[in-house]
Amino acid sequence: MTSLSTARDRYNAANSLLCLLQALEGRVAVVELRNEMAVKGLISQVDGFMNVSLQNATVQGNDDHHYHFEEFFVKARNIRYVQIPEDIDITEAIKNQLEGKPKAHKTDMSSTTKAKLARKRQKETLKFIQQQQQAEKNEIEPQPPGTSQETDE
Amino acid sequence: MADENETSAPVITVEEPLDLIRLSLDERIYVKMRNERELRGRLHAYDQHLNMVLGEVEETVTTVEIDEETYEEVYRTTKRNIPMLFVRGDGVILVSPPMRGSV
Repeated sequence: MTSLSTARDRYNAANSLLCLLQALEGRVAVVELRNEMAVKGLISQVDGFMNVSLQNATVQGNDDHHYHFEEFFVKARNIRYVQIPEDIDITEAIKNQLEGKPKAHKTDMSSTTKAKLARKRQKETLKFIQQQQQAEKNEIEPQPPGTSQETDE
Repeated sequence: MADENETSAPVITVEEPLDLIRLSLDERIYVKMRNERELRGRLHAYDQHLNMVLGEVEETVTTVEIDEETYEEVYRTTKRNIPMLFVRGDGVILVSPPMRGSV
């Protein structure tokens, strides 16, 4: 379904109501254009800019003749309305659409440069703290071992 | 010590104009569109472009015709009903609660 979509397409779709139109892919709907024409057909693809490709489309303009096209492409700007079939539940459709999208990044982030750098810094900080504690310990015990010593910690 | 804070209603923050539309979710609204069109329907969804999904919507198209003989303007309205409609945001001029006396 999203065979040709770029990351920009997917971002646009996931952050607007485009995902609802994409949920209509495979369904028959009526697209009303700005030039008063109506196209009824099977929505084959909706891209990130809302361009719509339809198959098996019938175009009708103000009770003019009907024109039939196997493939029909509508540029996004020309869409005024899309009549959604009544048997579609909006929230359900959007949820399914968004869950089906592949994740944009791998979930295991431990081998990224950022993570490696963070671990390196952590080691250095721990080493530094250890040296601090060592230095404090050395200052506290000026007496040779054998005499009673109090542990502060 | 006063107990006023305990009986306060849930706070709805309105920070930007789009939040005003959020207040109308699932309510009937009036949408004025370009090309002398108006929609009245129930707002199911909207987004930042003002793409909207309206249910049980009535579209009113207003046309002005000039009568050739009397030269007066005749306003005609054409209405139609659509059960569920997706509206592209770039055609929307304004969104409002339905006006009194004409729901």
